Amino acid sequence: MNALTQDSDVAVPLRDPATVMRLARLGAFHQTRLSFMRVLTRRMRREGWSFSRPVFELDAIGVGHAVYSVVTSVRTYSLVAFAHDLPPELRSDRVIAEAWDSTFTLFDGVPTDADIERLSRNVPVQEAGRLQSTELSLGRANRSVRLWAHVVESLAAGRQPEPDRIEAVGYLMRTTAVYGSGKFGAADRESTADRAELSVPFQIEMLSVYLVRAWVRDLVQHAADTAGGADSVPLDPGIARSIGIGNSTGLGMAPFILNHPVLFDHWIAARETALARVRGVARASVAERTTFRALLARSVVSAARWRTEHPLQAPRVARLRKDLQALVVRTGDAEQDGLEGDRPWDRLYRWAEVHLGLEGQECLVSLVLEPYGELIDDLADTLACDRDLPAIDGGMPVSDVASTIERVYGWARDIDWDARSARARAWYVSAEKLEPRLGERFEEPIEPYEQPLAPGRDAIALHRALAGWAPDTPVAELLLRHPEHRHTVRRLQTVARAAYAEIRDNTIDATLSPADMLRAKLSFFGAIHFDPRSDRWVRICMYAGAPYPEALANGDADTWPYPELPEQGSGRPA
Amino acid sequence: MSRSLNEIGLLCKRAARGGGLDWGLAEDAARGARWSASLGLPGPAMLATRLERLDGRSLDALSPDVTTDVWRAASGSLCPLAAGAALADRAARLAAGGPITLRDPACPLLVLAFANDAAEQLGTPVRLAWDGIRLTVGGGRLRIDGARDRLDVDGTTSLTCSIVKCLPEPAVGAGFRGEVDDTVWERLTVFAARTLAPATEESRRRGAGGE
Repeated sequence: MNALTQDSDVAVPLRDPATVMRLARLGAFHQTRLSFMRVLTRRMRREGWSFSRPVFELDAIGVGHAVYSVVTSVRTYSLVAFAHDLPPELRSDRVIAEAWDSTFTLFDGVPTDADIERLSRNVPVQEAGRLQSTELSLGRANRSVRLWAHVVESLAAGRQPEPDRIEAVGYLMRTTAVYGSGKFGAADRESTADRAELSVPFQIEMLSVYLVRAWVRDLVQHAADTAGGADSVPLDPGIARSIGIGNSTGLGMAPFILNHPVLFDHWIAARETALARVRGVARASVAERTTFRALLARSVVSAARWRTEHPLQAPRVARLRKDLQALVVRTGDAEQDGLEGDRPWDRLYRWAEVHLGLEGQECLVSLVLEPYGELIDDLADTLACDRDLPAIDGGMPVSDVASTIERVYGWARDIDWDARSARARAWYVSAEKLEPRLGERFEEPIEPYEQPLAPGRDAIALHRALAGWAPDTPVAELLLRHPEHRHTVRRLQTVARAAYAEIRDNTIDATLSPADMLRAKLSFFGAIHFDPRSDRWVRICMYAGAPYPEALANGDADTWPYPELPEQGSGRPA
Repeated sequence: MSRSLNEIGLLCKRAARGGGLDWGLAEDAARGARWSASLGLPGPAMLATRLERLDGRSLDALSPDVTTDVWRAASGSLCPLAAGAALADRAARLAAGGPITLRDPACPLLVLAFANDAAEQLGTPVRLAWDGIRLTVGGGRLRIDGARDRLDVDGTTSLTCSIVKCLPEPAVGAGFRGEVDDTVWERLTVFAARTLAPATEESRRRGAGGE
């Protein structure tokens, strides 16, 4: 049922960017209906994509390659995956590693034997290889050594692996990089962005990982069958479904949301618009309330399974568990319904703002969207934006530049930029592997290499430089004299038109936690169970619970991020 | 070699920064080189030539004096990047007044992307002319007339920039790949390397934060 058909729905304003765009809140975001993985799985099912595995050639020690093809309504894409014999001492999650258990690319079309031969020389060496415009992504994955061994040994001996051990890790392999958009010669996003199935951001990467999950499942079965021979048994489909693909994300991803401010604005604006629409719903139907309650119950299970030892994240997860219980109580059950009455979701959200932590509030945002696919799923079409660096409007008067800084960067004017702690960090790119890093400005010789990733500091510097210029002077005059502000003027003009483009925190502060930036981005991918391994890299799980390709047509292609309740019919979990 | 536009843009941005440009102008230079390459023009090669000539010198003396419609550098040849940026920032002047002339610009092709920005802002095609070659851009498309061999000269005595009513056809549009040969790539890589912090044990330990 579409809630918009009710005549008393009202418009609720979007949340204030000053509230949303703080790193602490962005770092508490959860997956939603609009997450890129879920947009993809819904589309695959809706359009009836078909899957096949035309090539699967592995030797006795599991070295070889396979091709997984997916036929959409108009095209074919093929994952070309390689399995390697990786000595344990070379297994590293660092992006600077040089060997992996598996490497892969998403090929645009059906690869010929010559393509596969070419790819076999280039994909396994990753950055050292060369791709063409027929390749859409490049990635690699490493085994979770302990879980891999347990699953292979169990299946080979004729028994299923222990669910507790699977739950403790969550994945058999984790990707350590999945590159898209033009990396190492691959096709640029612009060249495929007009395809409906790829227009939503990161669909190439999400499809790559979805197919890799099937590949990894088949790979572990092959290893078990080889080891166990006639004794080996197939992995139980239910257990297989609970297994995701891990991902280890380091700092390299953090600058993305700073370097693509308009794109990031589109993501946040879609999510905020969805929330505002749902908060405006006048009354929730029984079906909508039931959906919410069911997924809340499943969120309780998910939070219970969320494991992290990180000193900042572990207490947040603990608080989230308590908050979810509070939500269960607050929203009652079918008999004592806390969701009856006018504008139930708006009331619930306002209550949450007062009573729940940031993790709980943002988890609630995700949950209230769930019953309203018809109302909000169209917003997936607004997630993309392929123009991030416009030309400068040199005619803008410096008075407008000043007022824009005051409006967008008001928070930065309160910071004492002369204090060393406010400038303690610097973003730079290392010569070693061309990856972004974060260093200590006053302790390492990195400042000459600093990347322009401190918009707050730079905006305030520009504001100071405006002093002495007549208010109606075109900014072009200032830029001719002070070209060092050109980057910031462009950014200012860009973010002035996009409410959620700019993070409203100091990205070079001594207390910055880049893990918040990683979390924000990964939540839009649809990742769950964020496990920061330090303040600058995060492990996550992707696609756990999702149906595999052969089960997609009859499986749950939508709410799979929420784990099934342990026992149906036993009421809400304690 | 066929390159993706993203790798061309990224290398050119790093190279321009490594060659001494401020970030904002480096972004424009890279965007321009990328767009130029997508049209089959030697923008990346011209950028390499320009950075080699500039070699870290300040742009102050090479930037235009824009008080009249004839723009000169205070001394020596005019920097096409500084002049191009100044031109795009003053697109309205092209529409309101007559042509703008750049005296003694180096690598004139590097002005083209800025002319394209101006054309986009004005909503009307913009033409650059030097040494008997005329390049007209509009809507991201390009038409070349005249002395094609003057496309990649490393300097000229005079370049005029003006608006025109319509883009002559046939004009070419941007593609999705660029050809940049290995020699040019290596020349740009030399400059790009200057933006990269040398790895130290300390930075390995702290910076990436991995295992």
